[in-house]
Amino acid sequence: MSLLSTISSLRSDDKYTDLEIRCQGKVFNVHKAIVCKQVEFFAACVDGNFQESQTGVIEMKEDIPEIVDYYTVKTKTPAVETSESTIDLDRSELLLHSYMYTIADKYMVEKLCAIAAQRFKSAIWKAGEKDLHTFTSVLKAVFEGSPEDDRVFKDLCIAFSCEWYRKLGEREDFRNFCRANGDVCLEILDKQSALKELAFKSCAEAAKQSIAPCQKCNPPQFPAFHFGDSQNNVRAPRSTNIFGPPEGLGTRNGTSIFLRTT
Amino acid sequence: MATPSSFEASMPTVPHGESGDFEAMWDILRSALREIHEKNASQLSFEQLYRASYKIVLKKQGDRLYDRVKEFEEQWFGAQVMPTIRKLITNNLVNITVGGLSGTTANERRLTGEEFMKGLKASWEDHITVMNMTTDVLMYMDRVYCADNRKASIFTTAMGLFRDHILRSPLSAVDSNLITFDILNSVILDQIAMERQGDVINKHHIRSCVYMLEGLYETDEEKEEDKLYLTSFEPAFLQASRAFYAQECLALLRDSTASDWLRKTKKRLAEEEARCQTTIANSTKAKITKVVEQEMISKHLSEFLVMEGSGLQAMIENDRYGDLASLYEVISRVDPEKKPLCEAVESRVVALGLQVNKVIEETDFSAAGAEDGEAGEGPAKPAKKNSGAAMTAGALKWVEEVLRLKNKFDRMANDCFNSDPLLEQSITNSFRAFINQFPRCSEYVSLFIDDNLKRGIKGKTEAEVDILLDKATTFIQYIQDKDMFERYYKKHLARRLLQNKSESSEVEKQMISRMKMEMGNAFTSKLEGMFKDLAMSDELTAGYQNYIRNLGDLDRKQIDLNISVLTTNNWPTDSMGGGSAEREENRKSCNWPPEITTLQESFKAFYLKERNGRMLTWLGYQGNADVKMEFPKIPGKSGTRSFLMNCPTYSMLILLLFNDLALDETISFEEIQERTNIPTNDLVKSLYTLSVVPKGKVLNKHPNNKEKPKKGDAFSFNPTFTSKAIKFKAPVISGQISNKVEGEDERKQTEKDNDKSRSIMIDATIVRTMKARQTLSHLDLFTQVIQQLASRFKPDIPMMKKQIESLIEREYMERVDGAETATYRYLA
Repeated sequence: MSLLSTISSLRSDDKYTDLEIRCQGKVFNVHKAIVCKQVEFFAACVDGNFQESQTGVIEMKEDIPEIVDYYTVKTKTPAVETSESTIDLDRSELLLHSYMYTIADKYMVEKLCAIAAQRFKSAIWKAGEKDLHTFTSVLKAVFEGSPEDDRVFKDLCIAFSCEWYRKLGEREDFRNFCRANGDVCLEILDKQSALKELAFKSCAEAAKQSIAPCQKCNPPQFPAFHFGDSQNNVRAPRSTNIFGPPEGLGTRNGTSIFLRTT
Repeated sequence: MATPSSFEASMPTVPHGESGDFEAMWDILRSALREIHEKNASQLSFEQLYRASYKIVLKKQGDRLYDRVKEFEEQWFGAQVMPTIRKLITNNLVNITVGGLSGTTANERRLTGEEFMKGLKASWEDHITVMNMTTDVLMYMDRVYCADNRKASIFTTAMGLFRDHILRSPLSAVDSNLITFDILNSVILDQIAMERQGDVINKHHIRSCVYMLEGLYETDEEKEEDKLYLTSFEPAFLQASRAFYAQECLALLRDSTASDWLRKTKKRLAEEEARCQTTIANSTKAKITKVVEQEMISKHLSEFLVMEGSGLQAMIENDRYGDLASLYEVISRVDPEKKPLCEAVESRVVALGLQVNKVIEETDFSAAGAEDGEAGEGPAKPAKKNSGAAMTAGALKWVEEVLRLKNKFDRMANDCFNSDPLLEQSITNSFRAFINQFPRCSEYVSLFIDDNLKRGIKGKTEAEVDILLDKATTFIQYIQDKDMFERYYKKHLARRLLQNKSESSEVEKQMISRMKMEMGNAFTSKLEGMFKDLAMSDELTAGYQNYIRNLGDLDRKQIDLNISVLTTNNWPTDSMGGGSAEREENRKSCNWPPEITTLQESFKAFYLKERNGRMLTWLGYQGNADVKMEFPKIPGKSGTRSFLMNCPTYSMLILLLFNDLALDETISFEEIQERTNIPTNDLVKSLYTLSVVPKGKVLNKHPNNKEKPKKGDAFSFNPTFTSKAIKFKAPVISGQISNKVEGEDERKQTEKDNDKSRSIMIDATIVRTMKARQTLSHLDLFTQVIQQLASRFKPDIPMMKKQIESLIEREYMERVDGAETATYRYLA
């Protein structure tokens, strides 16, 4: 058995675990050597002269057990896993990733932040009407659970809200969220007007030059975004970076996002 | 398995009303901080505290949290830490700090100081522990709030607070400008001063405080050069050290010897180095070393060097190699050029060298005086002979003394000065200086080599001979007038070779090859030519004998001929005879008797057969002959008495005259001179050996006395001559054959000859230079010529001027008219 596979096999059972993480009644047995090396928070728990170092138990009172599970699994794994089969959260992928991002940010696990951001990005491209019922929770998690300057998720959520504002507007939970978070609501509004204007301008430009939109330039792996309602099929000219690169975007985890439309 | 709805349910609730929220969170954190400071943290849940600080920051209250923590620390310092420290600052400590004398003993002072440092160190260590824990709790704030707002981390800030509120806190107990830091500096310096006096102190406490100062910075930017250690403590330490060492050095200068000073300085340097390693910081090492070097070494170096009885002079004279080695080490530290040492060694060497010169010169003087009294080169008398030998011995002694001096300083350079090239150069320079101040150095060195090659190397191993040759070679290198040396060497070598006096031709050749290596081909080419000539002559002799045998002309009276054909240029023909060049003409035309003439003609025919066009000149004053003499029976003894005498060529010529005389016939001095045409001087000498010196008295002189032969004397065959050996060597007059110190006249002649050949070389060099450059200023020409001749001798300026005048006269060059500086032009 190689050293790497030995370490890797450690997470398959609770044997030799030496640290207990409790979260809302759930118990996770982990290895200090692995979690503390990856997460400073755990290291501080174990090394600091606090209660946790005496008891060997860390109570994570306000975190979500499933996420903690996922989170501890992640941090227990020496090599970052790429498959998403660990937890079956297909139907609420956006929510999973935003929670994951929140917890990763809280405990300052930058690698996990980056993975969550990556996943969230690809998930929001695929997201559609079926995701609307959890989207308000996503917004809550994103706007309340990450630092103010961290725009990675926020810009993506605003764009998504712009696309679906009519449908979202019909949902009571979304309306309540808007009532409580006027600034987010304002952001959506600003974005929406900016998009309209941009779309109008470029449409006029395209008509003037009689250039037909080029279908080939639409890479199939990137699903097209629809702006405004779906019937009004106005397209922005190709290679316009709608989102930026926006200022402050991705400054914390180093990912920048470019959405390309045709 | 989680469902979306369960997510929503478990979503953390973030209540609004931020300010109230903040206060609630802060309350948790504040009480936790208190517990942490009171070392009761083990009851706190880290997760709860982390979560509290996380939420505050997430709610954009990071700045408030930051400020509250700072405030808390400040209050804690003021209320809890400073009072303890103030209690440790006794009035004594304050008095020492402000410069007043404390009324306590050193021991009490040391103890109170230690208590103070211990207290300060404890509060510092507590602070570090507490702040490490606090930093853990506020980890999210550091990462998010401080990083985004470019604020110093809470740890850094807390360190700054310690600096401002503890170290820079004024001592309220006394109404003065003193701060804790002043006390700390003064305590540490006081302790170090005690250690320098020989007390034992607790280095550990100082080290801890130094660590603290190294962990604190002037500003929260934490720049490396802003460490409090560097900005506050180190300057004070260096200043105090400077004062201490300045005083110590003055005390040493007043009360001690240079040797004590060296010991003390080395000890202090080692102490300071150790102090940097064990008590304060290593980074100070270079600086404090410099201070000690400046104060203990540089400032009063020259005064220590000239110290009566223990300074450099005494060290060298009394062979205090240990002190010298220390001195070298110490000076090397402050002066990479070691100028004072070099100069001192130089002047010592020159002084000692001049002493040697003087002793020899004084001995010489009496000898030379004796010779003058004898009026030049008369026939040798016992007293005279002794003085000549004494002079030669003096010459050898001089060389040996100089070599002894050289050995001493070589050993010193090796043992004490680490074979430092600069010092070796100084030694070489100074040797060169005093050796060249001694006018006869060239002659003496050549004589020394001559003596060794004749006798000195007998029974020595190869290695010993090597050492000897090395010494000789070094010596030659010191000599400036290489041409003079070459002149003497040639003369001495010629005698050695022609008279077979050389102990080993192998060693001779080694010596030549050494000189060749050191001084180049030009120097030795003629010397090598001499060896070549002799080898050639051996072949010629063998060839000639063969030739004679093959002629079959055996009926005539056979004379065996051993011939040395000397190339004029290679051999010092003018000096070999010991006479002057003016008499050359007389010599050449000395009359050869018919027997010899036949022989000469026969050889000439043989020689010129293969070498057409050469001129052979027979040198009567060189060479020797075996003369067979038959004497009448002495009554009572049987058989004819026949002896074989080896004598110089001139003696042979004289003796041949007596073949034609009856036993009792006499021949006058004038007649001998007329018939042989031998120069008067040589004739007198030859007749003296033949008619006066008992061992070879084959002639009778009339009148029969011991005076040297002169005009009017008559000579006859001495039939009663007898000798113990059948074959013997005619006695020689010293000086004629063996190499000895020249007399005043000879010396003058040699100098004159040398000047002549120098003027020729100067001529040649000037012409060569001018030809290459066409026009050249006076100054440039002189520089060039001096440079080119430097390896041979140092040209005399008036002589050069004279040669230039003469070259202009001979139209080799001309003055350029109207040039700003004197300039010459070459004329083809």
